[in-house]
Amino acid sequence: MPNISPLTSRMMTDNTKQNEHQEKIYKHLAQHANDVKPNEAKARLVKENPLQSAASAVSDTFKDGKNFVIAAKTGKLNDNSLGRINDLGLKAGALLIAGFLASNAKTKTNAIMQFLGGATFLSVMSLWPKIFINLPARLVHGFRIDQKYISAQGDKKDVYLDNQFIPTDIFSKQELKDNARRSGIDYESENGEEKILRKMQKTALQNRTLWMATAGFATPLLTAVIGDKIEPLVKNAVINHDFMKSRQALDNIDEVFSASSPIVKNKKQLEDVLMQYSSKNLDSEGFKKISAALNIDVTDIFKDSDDLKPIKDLKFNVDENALSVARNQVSIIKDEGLEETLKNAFSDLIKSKDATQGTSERAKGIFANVKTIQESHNGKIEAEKLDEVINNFKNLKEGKTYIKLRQMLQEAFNAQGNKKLTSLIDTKLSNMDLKYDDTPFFEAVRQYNDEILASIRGRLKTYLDILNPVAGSKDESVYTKIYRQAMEKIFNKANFTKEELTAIKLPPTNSAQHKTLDVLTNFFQRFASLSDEEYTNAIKEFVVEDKDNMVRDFIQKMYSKDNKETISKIWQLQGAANKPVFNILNKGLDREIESNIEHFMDVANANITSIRSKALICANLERRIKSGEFEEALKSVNTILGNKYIDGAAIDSIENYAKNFDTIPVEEWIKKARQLVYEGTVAADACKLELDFEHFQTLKNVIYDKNAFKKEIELVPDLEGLLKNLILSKTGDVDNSNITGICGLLRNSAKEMLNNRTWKKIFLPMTFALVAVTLLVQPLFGNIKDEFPETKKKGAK
Amino acid sequence: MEYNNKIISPILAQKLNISQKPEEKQQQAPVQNAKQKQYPYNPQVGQNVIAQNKQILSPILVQTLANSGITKTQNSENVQKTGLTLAQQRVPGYKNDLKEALTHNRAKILAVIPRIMNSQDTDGNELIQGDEIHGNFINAVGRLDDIKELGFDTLHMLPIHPTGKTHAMGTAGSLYAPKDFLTLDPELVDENPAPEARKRIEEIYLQLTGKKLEKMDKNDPDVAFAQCAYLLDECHKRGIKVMLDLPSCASVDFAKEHPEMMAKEADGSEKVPKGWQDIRMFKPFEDEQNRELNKDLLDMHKKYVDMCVKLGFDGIRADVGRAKPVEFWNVIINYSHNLDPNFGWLAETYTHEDASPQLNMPYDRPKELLEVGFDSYYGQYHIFKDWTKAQQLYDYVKENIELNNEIGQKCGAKSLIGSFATHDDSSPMLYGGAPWVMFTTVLQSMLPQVNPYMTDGVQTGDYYIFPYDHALVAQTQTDNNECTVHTGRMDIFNYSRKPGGQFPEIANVVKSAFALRSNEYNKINGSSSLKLKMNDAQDVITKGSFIILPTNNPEIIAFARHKDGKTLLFIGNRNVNKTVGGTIQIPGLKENQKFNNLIPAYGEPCKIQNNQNGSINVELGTSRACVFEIDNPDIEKLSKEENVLQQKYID
Repeated sequence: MPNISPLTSRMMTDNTKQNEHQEKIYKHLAQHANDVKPNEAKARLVKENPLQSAASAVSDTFKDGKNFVIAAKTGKLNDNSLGRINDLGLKAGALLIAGFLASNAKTKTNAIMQFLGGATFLSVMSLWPKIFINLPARLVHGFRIDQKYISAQGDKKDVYLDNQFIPTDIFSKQELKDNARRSGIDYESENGEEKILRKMQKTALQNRTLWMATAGFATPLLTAVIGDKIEPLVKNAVINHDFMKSRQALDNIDEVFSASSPIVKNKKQLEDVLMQYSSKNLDSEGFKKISAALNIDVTDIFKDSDDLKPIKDLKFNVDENALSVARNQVSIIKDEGLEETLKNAFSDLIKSKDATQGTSERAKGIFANVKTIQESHNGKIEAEKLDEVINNFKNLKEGKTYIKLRQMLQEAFNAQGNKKLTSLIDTKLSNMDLKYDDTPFFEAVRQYNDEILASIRGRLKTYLDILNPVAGSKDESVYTKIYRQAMEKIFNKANFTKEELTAIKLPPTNSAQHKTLDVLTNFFQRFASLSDEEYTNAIKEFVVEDKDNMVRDFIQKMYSKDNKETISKIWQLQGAANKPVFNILNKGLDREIESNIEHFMDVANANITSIRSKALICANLERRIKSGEFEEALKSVNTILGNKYIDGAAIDSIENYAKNFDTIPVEEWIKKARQLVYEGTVAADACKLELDFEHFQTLKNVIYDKNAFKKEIELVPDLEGLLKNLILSKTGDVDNSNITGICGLLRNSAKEMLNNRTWKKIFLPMTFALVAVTLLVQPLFGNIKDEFPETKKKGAK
Repeated sequence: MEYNNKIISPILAQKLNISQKPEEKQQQAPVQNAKQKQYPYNPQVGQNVIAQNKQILSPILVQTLANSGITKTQNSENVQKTGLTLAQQRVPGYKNDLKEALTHNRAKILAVIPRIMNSQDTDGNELIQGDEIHGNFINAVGRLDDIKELGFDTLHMLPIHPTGKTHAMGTAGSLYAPKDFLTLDPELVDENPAPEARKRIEEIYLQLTGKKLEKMDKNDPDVAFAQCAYLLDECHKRGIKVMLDLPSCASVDFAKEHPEMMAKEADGSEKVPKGWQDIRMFKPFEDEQNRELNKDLLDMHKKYVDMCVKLGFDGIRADVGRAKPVEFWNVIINYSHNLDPNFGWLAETYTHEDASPQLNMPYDRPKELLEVGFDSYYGQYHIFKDWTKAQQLYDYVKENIELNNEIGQKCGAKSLIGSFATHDDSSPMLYGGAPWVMFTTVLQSMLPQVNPYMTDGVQTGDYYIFPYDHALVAQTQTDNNECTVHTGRMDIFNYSRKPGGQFPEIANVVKSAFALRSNEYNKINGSSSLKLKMNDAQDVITKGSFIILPTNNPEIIAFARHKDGKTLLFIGNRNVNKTVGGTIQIPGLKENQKFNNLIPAYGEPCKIQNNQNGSINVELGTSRACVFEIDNPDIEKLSKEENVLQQKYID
């Protein structure tokens, strides 16, 4: 008993009747203290199975959304709910970022991966503690450290959210007993309950610390590893999906066309008129016929026959190719909208006073000028000047530029008046293609042609849309897939070093090229040294392994008789673009792959848009020089260099070498040739020789043995054209996607291989180490022996 | 020997006599037991008691005593004879009504520390050293008139026990680290009181001990008791009630002496609450699993209550209410009511189920503490400064009124204190200076279900910034030479200067605001200042409804208090940095309503404009609070239902 003052002491021990009675009351109260019980905690543990847990995760997210709205409207939310909005923001933000990135993604796979990547990141963030921390902890210690509860205020929280403030009183005795039993603590022993509570607290603290310590590494690492594994699956799925879609479209090609290709309803009548006048001058009769075909009354507009005069002598062009194709496709061109469109356009044009007068005035103006020229220039004109004038006419492709034309004519005739010129000019003007924009009639023709062409282009696009997922050069085609796999095999067989791969994958503008030339040489030689057999095997492996004949079936069907004709015509119209697609159709997929791989090196060599390719050319040159094949060629190089292409100090030395050609060792030549070719073709500031591509081509032809080159051309029928396209591609005139795609694949393959190697080397061990450490430390957690000495003592006994 | 011959409170005894006979109780026992399992009270019995007594008694006490048959031994004549406590005998006319004042929101509380309350700091270093006189029971009396004048009618007296000297905090030891609970700090004894006081103390000494006082010796524990009783008498004479602070833990010295009462960690060491190295925690349970209380601890607290009642304390403020279980308070509070039915109990506990600092310490659950007998509790107003929107305040008011209404029908009214700044919080001066203090003063004076509360010094703007903060000094009464201070808070660790600041205008506002609550407004401000009749203002504030007024500026706090057609209007700007303006909708506002602020103006001006369309435009200076009396008898009916809150309870 505590020390108490005499006063208090006496108050307590006083034996008066009254005090006795108070004591009695106190004792009674003390005995019945338990008449009251603590209120039940409002808080309760959340007990959910994984399915329920997943469901409540979804519903919680909705709740967060609702809370966000409340917070935004009223600014009123408790800390916990507000904190949870972070999670919502994280999810919404991830979705937004993925959406933004996906909108800029070049391929479907990339777009899908943006979302899957985000989802993976969030999943890993959520699953990492669940699988690698909470589950092992539960298995090792016998209780959940990710237990959640609903607080008295209705907020869902982690029980162990704050280790210093754990709502331990919401665990029932039975739960604590069970936990104790599973974690090997005798609940009934002294401090039994406290022991298990302490163990739960400590285990949770350690595991949550472990979580915080590892999540920062685990989330990105696992996301990347998983993403890396998912991506090929996604890509395959996309390729397969697109392929199946193509097949389906091919099976229903007529329907597909009819949906996408509009054409004039009563085009026959119109066509007849147009065809009738396609090769002769338009007269008022013809005009009336066209008007009739379009049901438009034009009599008021062209009352004066002079109105027709300006265009009377002009011919117009109807695209015969287009018309013929259109005519052949009558059966599948069914659109009814065009007639209306055409009619409206025509009607608008001729009803528009300004347009009518304008065009008429313009046409009149041109001929007035011609007349002026004829009348005023009777003097002589020099031949050179005449050529210039005529050339300028050639360049004037459209009537719209008549002002310029007039100016030029005036300038020309002012400079040197010449009567002879008059007739010449007259002829030129009468033959000039002033196109269709000067009169309503031509406008009608132009529109008609455009519509037909649009229809045909639509068809072509449909074909290409069907073909691309199969044989296109884009990243996600069956063709690319097989090609890429073949490349990977070959790369694997060649066993390239990291340096080689680094060199080959570098971007074209990398300035470190000089330094990596040696590496590239090795790379090239290694690649070139692969035996024919290896090539063949690698190719066959894939062709043969392509057990699913659907692709071949598809190609055959695509190139069936019906389609073939159409495609050919479209092909004629479209020019050289997309030729590889037709190569496949002509030669078959196997052969295309084979030939592509066989001449892959040459294609790569030729791809002068890429410094990589230039380097390869150099390397190839070196190889050939070493093999003694090109001594003659080297002499020619010297000649060319000496004659025209050497300039400045750096080249002077080559000139000097050239003078003493016979005494120069082969190695020196190799070095100089490499320097020459490299520097001569490298872009931007590193450029020493302003070689244009045509000349470079010459140079290349000289450097290479012509006979060998021809042989290669035989192997690769269109190599010349290919190279030509490559050169043109420099200016962007030609769709070079197929061509650069092949070189791109080389670079991509190298890049991927290198990335994969780097990845595996750095991140996989890290991931494994992280997982291992995370799992292995688990049994060390929750040690409370030091905190309960008697336990220790018992253990010691 | 004159002893209080009261055996049991007359009201209680009277009630027990008319309660059911024990035999009938026995017959009903099984049913009751079943009920008790669900809920410990027997509401019917409790309600009878309450209904017939108009006195708030714990139904448990009533029932348990009735069941025990104890009352049978009581002689009704005896009960009639019971009357005056020792304190009442000493101060004629004094009657403890703290419990009722607390529950009915009528208390206006000042937290004081006797050992610094009237310190004489002559050298100006703010630390009382050497010959300087620190506060004591006798010189504290010198402050009472001033305190009373401001309108305070209740003192929360922080602990007055001798402090532990081991691992102590500060040079005087923490007030909350008592070395002994059943004696008083001898340092609070004035060995040379003035003759008049000495005479009174001698009389009290004789009354308490039956002995004549030989020497005014501070080492005689009964001298401390007598001097404390003298202070209490002086309070009672002025109509001031006093509740004593019951520390929740004990000093290290106490723990060494009484290991049977102390909680142990698993390794056998003593339990230390986080951040308080100088105290040790009690072990409230002997067997926690079976919820068997620690008898030694219970006995000591019973004696503590005995001591308080004998000395004349009117109630107890229980430090960290949750530190002891509901069963514990069930005994102690009911026992106190047996001695003094109007003994008040204030729990330091918070509204929300806070978490525990120790594994085995339960949550704060104010509801169960209020149900078991506490009259008032701390609540969460100390975080008011973090509520940037008026709605947060309204929500909290609503939450508490709902809590009251939930238990009010069984347990009577329950209240909060205006815990805007307690001794555990930084001085409100540090947050927003004197205007903020005045703002919170007026606000808490106008809130429903609140007993205004201040710590000593804040009424004149004490920053609680001490120059000796953490200084090392040679003179110490503990094993610590460092003047530990919780910077910005009341000093509970050292002999400090007298609390107080340089802002007498705060006192003026306190005076006005409190006067409204005690119907003394006109006495102070002239008879026509307030049109409401006597008692009306107090009733409106302490009993009236709380009507939230819609505004278009979330920072403006605007509400009306209304009862029986009488209305007071509060408008305030809780922003300490800027003037805010807005429109306030006042349903039923008359077009010719004038606005005369009942609170003295301070700081930046406030502008009010009657829009004559049921709304007013206001522009309120930083931290300005205004109270208006308006003639608006229908405001309650015209307001939206969800905006009208009314405390309901059985009276």
